[in-house]
Amino acid sequence: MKKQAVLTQSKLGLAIALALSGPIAYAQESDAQATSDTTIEEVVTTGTRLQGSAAAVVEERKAQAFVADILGAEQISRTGDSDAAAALRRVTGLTLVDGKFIYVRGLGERYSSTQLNGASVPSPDPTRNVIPLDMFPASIIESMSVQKSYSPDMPANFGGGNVDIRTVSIPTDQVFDVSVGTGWNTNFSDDGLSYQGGGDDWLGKDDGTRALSPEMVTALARYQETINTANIAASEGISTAEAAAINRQLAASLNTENEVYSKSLSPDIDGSVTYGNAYDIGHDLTFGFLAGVDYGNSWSNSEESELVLGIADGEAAVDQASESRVTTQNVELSSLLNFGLKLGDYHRVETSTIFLRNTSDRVEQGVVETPNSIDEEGLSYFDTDIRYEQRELLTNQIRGSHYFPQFWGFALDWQYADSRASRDAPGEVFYRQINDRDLGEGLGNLAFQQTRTATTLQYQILEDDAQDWRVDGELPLYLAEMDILLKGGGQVSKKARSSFSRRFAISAEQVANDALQNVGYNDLFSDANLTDQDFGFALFGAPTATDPNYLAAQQVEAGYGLADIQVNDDWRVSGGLRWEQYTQVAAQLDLRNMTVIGDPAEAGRVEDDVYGSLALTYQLNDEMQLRVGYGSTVVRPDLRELTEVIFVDPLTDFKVRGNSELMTTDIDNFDVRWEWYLPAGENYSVAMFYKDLANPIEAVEAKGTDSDRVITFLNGQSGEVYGLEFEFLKDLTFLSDGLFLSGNLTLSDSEISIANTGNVELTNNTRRMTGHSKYVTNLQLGYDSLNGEHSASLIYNVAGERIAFAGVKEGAVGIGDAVEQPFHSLDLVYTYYPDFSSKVKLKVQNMLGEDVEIQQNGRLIQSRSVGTGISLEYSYSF
Amino acid sequence: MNRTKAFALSALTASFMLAGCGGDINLTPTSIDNSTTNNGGGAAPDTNNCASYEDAGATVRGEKIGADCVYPRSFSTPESPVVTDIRLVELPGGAHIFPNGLYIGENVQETASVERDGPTLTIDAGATLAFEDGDSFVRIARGADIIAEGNRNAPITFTSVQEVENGVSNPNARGLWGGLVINGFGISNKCDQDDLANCVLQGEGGAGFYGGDDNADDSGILRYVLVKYAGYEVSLDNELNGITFYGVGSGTTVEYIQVHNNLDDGIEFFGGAANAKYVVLTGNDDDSLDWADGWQGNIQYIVTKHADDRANRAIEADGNSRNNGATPYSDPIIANFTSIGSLTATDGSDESEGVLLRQGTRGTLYNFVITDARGECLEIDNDATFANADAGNLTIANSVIACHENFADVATQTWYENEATNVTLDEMATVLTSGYVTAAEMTDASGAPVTVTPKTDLSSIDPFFDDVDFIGAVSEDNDWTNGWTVGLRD
Repeated sequence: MKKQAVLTQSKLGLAIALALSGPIAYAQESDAQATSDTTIEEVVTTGTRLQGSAAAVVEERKAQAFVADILGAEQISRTGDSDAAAALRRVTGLTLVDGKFIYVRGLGERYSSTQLNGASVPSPDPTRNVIPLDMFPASIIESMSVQKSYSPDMPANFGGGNVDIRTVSIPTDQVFDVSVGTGWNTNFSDDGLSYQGGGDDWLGKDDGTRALSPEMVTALARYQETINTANIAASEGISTAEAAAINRQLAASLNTENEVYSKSLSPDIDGSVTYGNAYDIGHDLTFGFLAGVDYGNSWSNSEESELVLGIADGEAAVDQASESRVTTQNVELSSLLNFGLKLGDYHRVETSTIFLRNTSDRVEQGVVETPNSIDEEGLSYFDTDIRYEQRELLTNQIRGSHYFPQFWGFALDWQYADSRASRDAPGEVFYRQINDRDLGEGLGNLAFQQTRTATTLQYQILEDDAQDWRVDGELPLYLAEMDILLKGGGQVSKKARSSFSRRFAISAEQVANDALQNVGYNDLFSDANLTDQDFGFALFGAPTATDPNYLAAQQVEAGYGLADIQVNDDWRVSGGLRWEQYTQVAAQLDLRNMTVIGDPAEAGRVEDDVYGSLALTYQLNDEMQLRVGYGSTVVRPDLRELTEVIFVDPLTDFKVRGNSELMTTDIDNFDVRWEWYLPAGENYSVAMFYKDLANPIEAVEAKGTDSDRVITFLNGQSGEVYGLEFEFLKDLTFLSDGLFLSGNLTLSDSEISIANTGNVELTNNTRRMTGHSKYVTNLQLGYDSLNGEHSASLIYNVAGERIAFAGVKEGAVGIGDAVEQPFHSLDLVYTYYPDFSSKVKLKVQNMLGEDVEIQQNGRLIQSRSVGTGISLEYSYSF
Repeated sequence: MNRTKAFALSALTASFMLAGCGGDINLTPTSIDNSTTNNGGGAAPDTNNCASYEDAGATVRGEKIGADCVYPRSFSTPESPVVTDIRLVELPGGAHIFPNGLYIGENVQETASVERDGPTLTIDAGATLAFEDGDSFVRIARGADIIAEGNRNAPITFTSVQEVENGVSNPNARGLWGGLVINGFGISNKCDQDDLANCVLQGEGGAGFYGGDDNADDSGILRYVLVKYAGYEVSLDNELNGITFYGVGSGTTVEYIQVHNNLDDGIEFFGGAANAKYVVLTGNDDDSLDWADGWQGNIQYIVTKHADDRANRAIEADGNSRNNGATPYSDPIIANFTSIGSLTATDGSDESEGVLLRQGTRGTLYNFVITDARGECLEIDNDATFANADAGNLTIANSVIACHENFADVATQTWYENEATNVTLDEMATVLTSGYVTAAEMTDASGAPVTVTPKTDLSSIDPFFDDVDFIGAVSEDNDWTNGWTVGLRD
């Protein structure tokens, strides 16, 4: 009995449980037991783990006034998922996109919101408000609550669902866990790509190798961001030759050791240490803490191919084609420090400090046929693209929970969170070489281009700060025929973001062609060559109006009230209203003098409105209940989407133009759900949902000149999503002891109507929503041996085809929508418990060896090999 | 040197003030400028003849520094353009210096909402406009006009600040500033042809919105205008052309223009129906003349000359590169064209070439002289383009080709040689004199005289054209390039 989690449940869940169960002390106790997965794991060794974890999940879910899915640590461990994003795809109706974002019921990432312990979190994503969920390693997660129906104590910015990530909490006794692991993928071979990099790369941190040199930082300030020779000459009042020498020194000060070479990839490694304890310090006071560090270093190595389609003779034809290899090193470093102070059973204060780092170092190299070379024989391009990206999240939270039995059972929860997310992307490198063979014929003679942009180096930094205050109060009222819980509170969330980007190009316009032939990058862009005035290199760099330099801020102030009424034992009515005022502004910046480009007022919004929900639960009998719910919510434009000034999306390099006339999307949500909870953890549920979206926002491609892809945003006229969800957990003991089958299936459809404008002409004006799958299913066959030594799961996940991006018309002929094909994911997780203290876990992921594929007009336009991954982990609890 | 600015921005800080009450957000970008600005030249002269306009009761005007007019960055920006008429006078010995470009007319997305009677930029003969590198270019928005009427003795020059201040010593200098962009209401084949009145397209980078239903649109006059050393990359992967005609209509007058040493194309037409006469394109890095997306204009008298270091094509002609069958097809009439390639130049990956017709373009080409390129001098590409050629919708006649590699393939050669008025020679033939003037007496490799019959009755095809008695751009009788162009005689 070492591990016992007491502070696990969300305050809301707890409060409602209290109101329903009468005496407070009893409720808390039973609650603590019910939610304490680990306790059950250790203590109830004769029972199945399934039932232990399921019990916790089921208990909370059953008690919720609003439909929610709870994913506990035990279940995440069971499916072997390593981060929040991967784990969430196991939840009914959720699909994982790009490995980072969750689509709830087929609605895009803008329709899902994320909270960390109930507080809003900033995002290191350069174009989105919502945080990529791969940032959160499974080791810090105690549970995740996915609420798919709205309740007024949540932000009104709610489309498909809200994910609340609850981090591990203070133990009641000493906890000391250590784990180490390793992994390997069938795609690992000796053809992984790498480059020089920095000395601290293993820590996921650039040691300064890639960063802007101090000389360059000084020069940028001195020359007002423009380090071209002409500007240096004008600023200093010196000759062009003297200025060129300064310019060349600046070029040499940048990191130009970016030659890519092949190497064999070493196996993945990871490890973690967690230590926590609790002390009784007298006067009914208990002090506890938990500290943990988690480190992982992993690789992925894939082959990718891509086509861009145009139209020839009225049919789709290939305009551009490429085949490349992509190697990515991922380093994750997270640490967590929690303190808790508990006074009796009624008062507690906790703090959490969480630091997450997720660094990806991606090297892509491959042959490209551009529209210019595709018809030329013996000509293609060999492109190298290095993207190093260090994403971090640091959050400090303090929260308290107080219960006053002497004041009619009034309860008060409060919380303050201060967070900063950042993205540091120094030294993003691109270079193109001419290849004198065609695509598919390998590499011939390679020559760097005698152009202004022989190589480009880009430096981006983004910071997103958030502060969040919230207070919630609850008052239970016990009347003759009904129990009422009144709840009210307020929340203020503020976010402020700054994004800066600088881009330099080394020009080889004046370099002799011979010097550019069949030469390595490091030899060509050596300091000796860069500083040699006769060699001919020059550095160019000046801010342009479209660089992603911007400030943006958002503020939401909210107040709500709700009532949860239990009538007899049969009926339960929950409902309430929430008022929100929302303010948003974004401003494109001219870095030269830090002035705002354009009119920020046009990209500003102040709106306030009242949102609400009503949920009805009818207890059919002890085991079954029926729920009906309605919610009115909103989805707002993202930070940059109102800004008309074009900016370059740092991730896709597409040009993005906001739309200042974009309207918020009002959503009416309807849910019906029937639930049947059997003893021994078996359960079944069937749900129906319907969402009506007024003015849904979609990203679409605008018409422009050929070399540019311009993305803009439009309100559709209407949108709707509806469907059926089935869930079950079936005990298969009758086949074999310890065997069970669980799963879920979502069948749904959606329709969005978007009218063409003079600038956007879609091939299909009415279609399914982008990212929506008609079916999503999860199946898990689990086995737990009776002696408690073995546990195994076979997990299958698939989502039906979904629109990756919408096709557009080109001169009366349209290209179809691009459709991502179903990915059949089959994973196996086996855990062996040799004794009470240790655990060995074996994972096999993507056993079917599927590839990610996108089709358009019946052609495969994108594919990426994933490979089969195998990993082994050993953990020990002292 | 009186524009010295030794800025030392000690820190780039962006601070936010999120005021708690009322939901106000104050966005406060701050920079700490602890430098001194040294204006050297000091006192402004009594008369300031710099351009000005009234804005909310205040006069916004350039500053007279020496002989120059230097305009503040706030004079115009892409988002906050000049919206009233302005005039740029000739500044003897000086230039109008626009550090961040010059933007005329509101850049309105919705075509129906554009003010058709927008502001006019008037530039006097002999005036010089100079720009810095970075994102500095000239944009004439839809509804706005440019009236730039120079004359042979006093042409109007758009160039880099570097040239007016220090001179440009490197003969191959390019890309020292952005370029000239004119946006019109002309028709593009990228539009929904049933809804042209609402069509709007986004120009490359920050070039603004263009397009509509009016191929007769009038954007003003360019006469005796030189654009030099332009083509800077104004946004990611967007180097500007010397002059870009985005949907410019046939009401616009374009005569006697030159683009010299541009980093991208010389001039490019995206749809529309602008016509041009007397065009000189020299030393341009990419293609000299480029068209795409349904351009319907005419050009007479045009000479392109590649530099020895860098160049790609004399003409790169596209129908619509993403849909070869899009209508209306690009379908210009071009007469009296001289293409002078280079035996050494490449554009870094491709060689100096002659005329490339592709992506479903149509067109009628008369009186061409194509010579001296390192790569192929004539090429048709894409099935849709060949289909146009086979159907007689893409023709070349009364022309001579004299290159080392005349044709890219047999099909192109057959198309060319099936027209009896065309003559094929080789690189040893003499077709030009003085480097760019059509030889009155052409000879083949053996020195034997060659006669190429010109198409003379051009005015009967379209009154835009003059009737002529020669092929190529410039005849020995009348050198219209004399006195105002650069780089042609080098």
